[in-house]
Amino acid sequence: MPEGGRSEQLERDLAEAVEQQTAARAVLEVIGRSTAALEPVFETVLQQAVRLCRADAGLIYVLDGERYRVAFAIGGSQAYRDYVAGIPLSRGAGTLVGRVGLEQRTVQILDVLADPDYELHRARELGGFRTMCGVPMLTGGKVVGVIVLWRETVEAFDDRTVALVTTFAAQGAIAIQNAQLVHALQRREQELEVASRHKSEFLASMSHELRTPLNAVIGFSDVLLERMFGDLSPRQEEYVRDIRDSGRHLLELINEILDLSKVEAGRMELEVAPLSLPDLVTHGMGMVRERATRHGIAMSLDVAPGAGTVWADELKLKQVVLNLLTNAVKFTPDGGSVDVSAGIADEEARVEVRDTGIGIRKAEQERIFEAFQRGGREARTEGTGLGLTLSRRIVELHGGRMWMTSRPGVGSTFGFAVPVRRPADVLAVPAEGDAVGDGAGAGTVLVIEDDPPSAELLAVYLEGAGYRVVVARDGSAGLELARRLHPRTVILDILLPDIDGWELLTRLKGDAATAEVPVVVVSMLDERSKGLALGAAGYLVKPVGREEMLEALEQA
Amino acid sequence: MTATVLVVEDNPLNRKLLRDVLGHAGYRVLEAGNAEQGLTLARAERPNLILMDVQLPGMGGEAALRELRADAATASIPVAAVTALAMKEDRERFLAAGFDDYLEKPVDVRALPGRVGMLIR
Repeated sequence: MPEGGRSEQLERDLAEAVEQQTAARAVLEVIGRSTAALEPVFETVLQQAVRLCRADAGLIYVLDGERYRVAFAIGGSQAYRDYVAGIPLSRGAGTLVGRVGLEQRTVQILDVLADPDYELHRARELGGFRTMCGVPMLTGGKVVGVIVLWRETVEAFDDRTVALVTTFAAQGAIAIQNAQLVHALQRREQELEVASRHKSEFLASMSHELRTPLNAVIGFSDVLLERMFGDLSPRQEEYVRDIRDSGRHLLELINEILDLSKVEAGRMELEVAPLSLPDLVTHGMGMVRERATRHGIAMSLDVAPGAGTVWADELKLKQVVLNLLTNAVKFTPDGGSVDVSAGIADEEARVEVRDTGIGIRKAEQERIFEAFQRGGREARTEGTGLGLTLSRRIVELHGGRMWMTSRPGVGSTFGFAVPVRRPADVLAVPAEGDAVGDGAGAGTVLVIEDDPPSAELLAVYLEGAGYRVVVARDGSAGLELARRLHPRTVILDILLPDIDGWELLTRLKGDAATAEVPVVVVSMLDERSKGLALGAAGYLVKPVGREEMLEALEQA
Repeated sequence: MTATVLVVEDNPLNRKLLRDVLGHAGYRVLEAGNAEQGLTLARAERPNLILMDVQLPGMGGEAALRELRADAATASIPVAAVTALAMKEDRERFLAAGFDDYLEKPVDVRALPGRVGMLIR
């Protein structure tokens, strides 16, 4: 080859390489922009491929069930495109796409007129093609799609052209995979919503259906016990009382299951108002005093000076205090004591109930907050086994925490603390499913996200992996919870109703109390470098898959 | 004069319970198993009080209340909702709907006569 020819060839090669790179970048850009929509990606891929390969037409086939369908086409007559669009192709030797699907590699037909196995004669007549090339789009060894290029003349696609289309095919495969993941995620999100709604409806109607007969059970028992229609023998009275108490127990169970399911669904709302901490505790003690006296159990109350007002849901906190006191009295042998202390310190209201009861063995302590656990203690007549679970959920809903210490044979102390100040619009998605175990597992993750379905989806992922999840619906609640909870990691949405996520990230990193907590940004915005520059430990662009989320958490 | 209480309740046992307890307390008790019967009895007998289950088959308790209020003959009769719905927001909803009181099931039969007495007064 003469010198001039060689340099011309080099120049052409260079120009071609630049053009190919530009084309590849264009495709990548489109993939980055559109995760859920495939059409823009296919359009770009085909436009570039047809142009750079000097083809007369191009088609993209995508696997739909067991057959390949046209997803996009460029070139050829309208009649041709309409025709092929209506013909899904199976794997097999009769068509180019079928062969690519069968052989899982690039297939070229130099001249369809000379190919005895080729069967799509009508398409060939309408399209007028001679040379065809089909390149597989592979995902995990499976041909999920095929890029087809054809020429009206008999002229083979050379290796370089095939290599270029292979690059495009790989990008197309990624786009298909992305889109499928996004769709699966969206479907799952919808299914979760529907399932959660069904569960709530089921529980509401079950609650009603169970209460109706219980009304008669408890009501008629009371009629007898009131002796409205005649006297009872002592034995009869005892049995009627047993019937009524069992009915009440059932009712209590129904109420607690309903409450618990509301917390689980993130639907329990707090009616926060100022309340007196001493009154709260005194009220609870009043409710159990009679029983304590009956069993010779001494009760004492120690309220620290200055213990005053707390912002909380009075009814729900009363429920918590009563639950702790009832348990303490129930599990303390006759002649023991129950000591209650209450106080405010570090912006937290704390209540502790110490008993001289039977205690809880170490192995059972970790499970004591789970539903239907009694720490190995014999169930006596009452108690649902849900009280502590519900209590802890209520305390967490207030942005607080609950703890216990116990020594078998010596006694137990149960305590909780809630913030004194009003937590801004805090919604707690409860921690672990009953099987997952205590928050001691993988740690607490604070999710700052204003969109409830997104928050719920993240919570599902995280709880599944054993994390305890607390959700803040806006920035100011997020800041406050981050300071108070010292979570293992914060997951931060950028588009929040009050404080801008970037601002929030800056504040978290600028506050000594939270600077050490890793923050993973999860946002619609693809501004990874900005996030990392501001101190984020990870950056994920929505929609985020489960694996991706958990991986980011582990690395954060 | 004996005061009359109309009990509108579809569950026969719960209806019997209210009838017997109120009867024992000295009230004259009328019973209806659905809202339509209840409306007929209310217009014919003009009771001093209506205890209305809100989840009735067919016409619900809230619709029945609207009919009672729309009819001059029954508009001034106090009506208490009786319900097995457990939610706190339900109470507010029923009071907002115009019921004079709200009794949650299970109804405390010991407190019931006193409560009924207050409503009639």
